[in-house]
Amino acid sequence: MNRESDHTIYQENERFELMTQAMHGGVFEIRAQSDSFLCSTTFCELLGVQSNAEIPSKSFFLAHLVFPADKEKLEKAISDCLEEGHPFTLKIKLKHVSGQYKWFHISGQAKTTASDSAYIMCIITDIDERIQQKLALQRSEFLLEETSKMAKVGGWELYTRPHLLTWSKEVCIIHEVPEDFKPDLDSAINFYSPSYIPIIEQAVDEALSFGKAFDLELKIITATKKEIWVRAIGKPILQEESGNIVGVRGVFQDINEQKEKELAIAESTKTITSQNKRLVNFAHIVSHNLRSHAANLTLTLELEAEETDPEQKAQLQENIRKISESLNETIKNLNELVVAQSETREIKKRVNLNKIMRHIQDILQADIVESQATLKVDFSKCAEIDFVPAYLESALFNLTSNAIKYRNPKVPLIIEIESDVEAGKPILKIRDNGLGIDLEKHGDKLFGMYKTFHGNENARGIGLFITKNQLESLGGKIVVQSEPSKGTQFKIHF
Amino acid sequence: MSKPNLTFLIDDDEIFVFAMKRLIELKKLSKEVHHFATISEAIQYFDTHKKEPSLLPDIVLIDVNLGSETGWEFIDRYTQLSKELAKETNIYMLSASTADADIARATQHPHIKAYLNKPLSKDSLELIFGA
Repeated sequence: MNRESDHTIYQENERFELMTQAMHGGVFEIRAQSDSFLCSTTFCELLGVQSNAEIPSKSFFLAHLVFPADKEKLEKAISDCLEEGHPFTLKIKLKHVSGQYKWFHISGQAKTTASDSAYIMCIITDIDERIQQKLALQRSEFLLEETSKMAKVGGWELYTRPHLLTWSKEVCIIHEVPEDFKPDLDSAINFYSPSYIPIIEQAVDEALSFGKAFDLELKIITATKKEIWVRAIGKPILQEESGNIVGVRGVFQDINEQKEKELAIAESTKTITSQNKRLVNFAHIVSHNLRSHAANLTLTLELEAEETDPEQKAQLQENIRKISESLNETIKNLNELVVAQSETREIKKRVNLNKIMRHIQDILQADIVESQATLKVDFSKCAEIDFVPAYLESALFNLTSNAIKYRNPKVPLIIEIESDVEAGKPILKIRDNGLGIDLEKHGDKLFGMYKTFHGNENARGIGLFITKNQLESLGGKIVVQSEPSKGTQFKIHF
Repeated sequence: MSKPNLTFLIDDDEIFVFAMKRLIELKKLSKEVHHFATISEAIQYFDTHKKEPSLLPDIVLIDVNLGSETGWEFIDRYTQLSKELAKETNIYMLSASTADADIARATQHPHIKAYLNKPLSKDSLELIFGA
């Protein structure tokens, strides 16, 4: 057989051509003992070449048209097929005349009657679009999955008739349930923290009933009992023809990290703002006090110079001495406060509460005896706290001595001091049955400087101010509950 | 302006009150001086004697800072009472500090004559007592 006549066979066999056209395939033939390469018109069309003449030989085909990385695979398949007679199918890339490689499905079958005339008939079909789509899909699936993982975001869909709720893999991961978890609406809603259940219920209900979309920040409790913040977005699914709402579909994201940071920042901004306010107040008060003393000194000195009455003169001189004392006291207070403000770098140590309390009771011994106060001290729930010892002692001292100062003379004084642990952190409670204070009237002033309330002459109006500043400088907190004539409770969070 | 008959000092600062009283006495700025250490006492006096012009003061000097109270609490309660009072009183607000907010508020208030700084200067004394 010569090449010309072979060409004629392939190209002129109308039925054959029709068949290959119908299947969008091209046909070629390779022989065992020859370098010839025969192909159909459809084959040429698939690769964009004019005719078989442009692909002169098997070796040309393998060297120039097969994608280099696929060449070995194809050669092996061909030789195996010729030797063993096994048919083969492969997915390989062939070079189009445009210079681009395209994906083809290729299958071959050998005819091995006589070894020297063995040949293979191969059919190629264009699968480029399909493969490209598949690759694109793989790429976008990869992107989606990685992005979901990174952003901790997943999707969910809820259909109502019949009831069907599906969660994406990431939604399962956020709930800490296996990926094959089968949720329904009730079990999904029960993952929410009790206080958020009515919110999500209402949101889903309104989405289903009125097509109202939602975007909420809520808390869930995961399968391992971790409480985390999530963002749940939902939009109604409308049936294409009728426009009826048939379900809700949405996005679900773990926003715990951001949310916790956000809340921490809000909290520290609050602390900073209140500290700042107190410092401004402090500056204001100190300046006012210094000015008051200075004003009194000027006035009294002027008078004293003009005074002729010896008795009056003596009193004015006594007053000058008093002003000097008050000035000293103000400067001492100022100093205490400056120290409290600047020594935040003080080192925290493990402090034994009983030891500190014994020390305070020693100092206050006389007051305790005089007031006949009963102290109930219980540090069994938390015996030690890591804190700056001097601050802790000063806080306990101030609160205990306040309780004694502001006792109710009509009721035997009982002061209860106990430690506890709340949310993994130590707290201290100091409770008394004393005069108490109207927090609605004085609440904002309670921790202010030089604010005294009960006309008590021992009151300096500086203790709570210092205590609050010291605690907050170390990230602690002090809160108060009180009712006039019932008593007061201070709670310190460390 | 004739010499005032009755001046009230509302202030909890004993040293200031002592010196001020003596100053008024020595310079004969007012025939009589009364002192109240708290706002409630002062208001109670006004309430009790609201219909007796001879017992109501010509002048009130009130400090802005009185322990846990402020001079503004007095002003508020005085304002409520003012329509029933048989006599008009010149009220001066005193303070050692120069808080802008207080000054602005005092300047606008119909019942406050002036906001003055402690120690009172000669000009201030002249303004108050016309001396």
